[in-house]
Amino acid sequence: MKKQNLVANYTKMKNKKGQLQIQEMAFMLVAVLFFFVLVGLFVASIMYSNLHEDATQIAETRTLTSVTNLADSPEFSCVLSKSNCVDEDKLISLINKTSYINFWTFSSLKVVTFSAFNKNENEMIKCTRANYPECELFLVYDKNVSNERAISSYVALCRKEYENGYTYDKCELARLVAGTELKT
Amino acid sequence: MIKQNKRGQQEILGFVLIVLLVTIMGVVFLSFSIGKSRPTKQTSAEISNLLEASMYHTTKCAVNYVPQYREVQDLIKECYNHPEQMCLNGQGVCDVLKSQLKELIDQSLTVSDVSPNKAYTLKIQYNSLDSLNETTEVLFFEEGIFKNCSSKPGGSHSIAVTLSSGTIDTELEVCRGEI
Repeated sequence: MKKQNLVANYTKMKNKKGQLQIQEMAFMLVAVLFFFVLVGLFVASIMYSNLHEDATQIAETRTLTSVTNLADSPEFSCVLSKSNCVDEDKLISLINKTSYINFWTFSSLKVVTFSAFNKNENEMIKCTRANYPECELFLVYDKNVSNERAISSYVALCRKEYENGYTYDKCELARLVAGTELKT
Repeated sequence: MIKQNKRGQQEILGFVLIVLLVTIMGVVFLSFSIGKSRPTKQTSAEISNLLEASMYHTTKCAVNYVPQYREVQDLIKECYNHPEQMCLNGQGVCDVLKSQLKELIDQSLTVSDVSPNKAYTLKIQYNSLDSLNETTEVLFFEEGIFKNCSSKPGGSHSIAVTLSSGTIDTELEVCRGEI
């Protein structure tokens, strides 16, 4: 009888120890799982931040490309075989033409000449048919939207000049500025 | 009983070792992936456009007659082929090229401590297509100090040289930092 009790107690103790081991293992598994979840979250946050950065960069490049393509469009491009070149004589004829306001997807479109690169917009001499080419800002159109982001691209601005009985092409560096309305 | 305890301790030690190994591998992998995502040199469409448009800028240098004024790209070729050539106004073609290009880049990028552009370097060199080693520097100038740059956008423009089989490459690199 005594022997039987001893065997039963021994079996109970062994079972308890086994349970304890299983419990330890379970806790350990939970801890490991928690650790990997934390690492996963850390990696995901880094990847997401890079993705966000990449998306912004791609969006900016796309807008910049569309502005560059705009310079090569028939409405702006130079007669000379030059890429990324805006014809100043075409540009002056586009000013105050209301039919072009809805032609391009941009909310505003302007060209700033080299002499006005470091000036504020209100300091620049606006181009009209009367003062052309002695001016600094070609305002093609402006829809006057409240929430606007401007993207600019450098272009060559060329026009015909007359000197000593010859005509020649005079080009200067300029900035083509296109505004896009930010949707909230 | 002691034997069983020892076995348990060994298991725990093994497990801790595995966890440590996985953690170290993870950290190494992460440092590699983060390091790769920050390239030191980037090609920028904005800088490339600036260089391309600058090449068409008409200078005040006429070599044969007025008003046959040379563009910046013509002066680059002239400066490489005939560095002693003078403009009709008495200035050397290389001097006009340097002053004109510097003015264009300075006005466009506005390098200062309070602007995002901290510094830039402009390098113009002839690269022969016949031999890989033959490079001749045509012009080099810089503005500001390349220090603590958060990004280094750059662009290049190539001009074919008709007299020899090679190209004259213009490279512009900008140091951008926090304002």
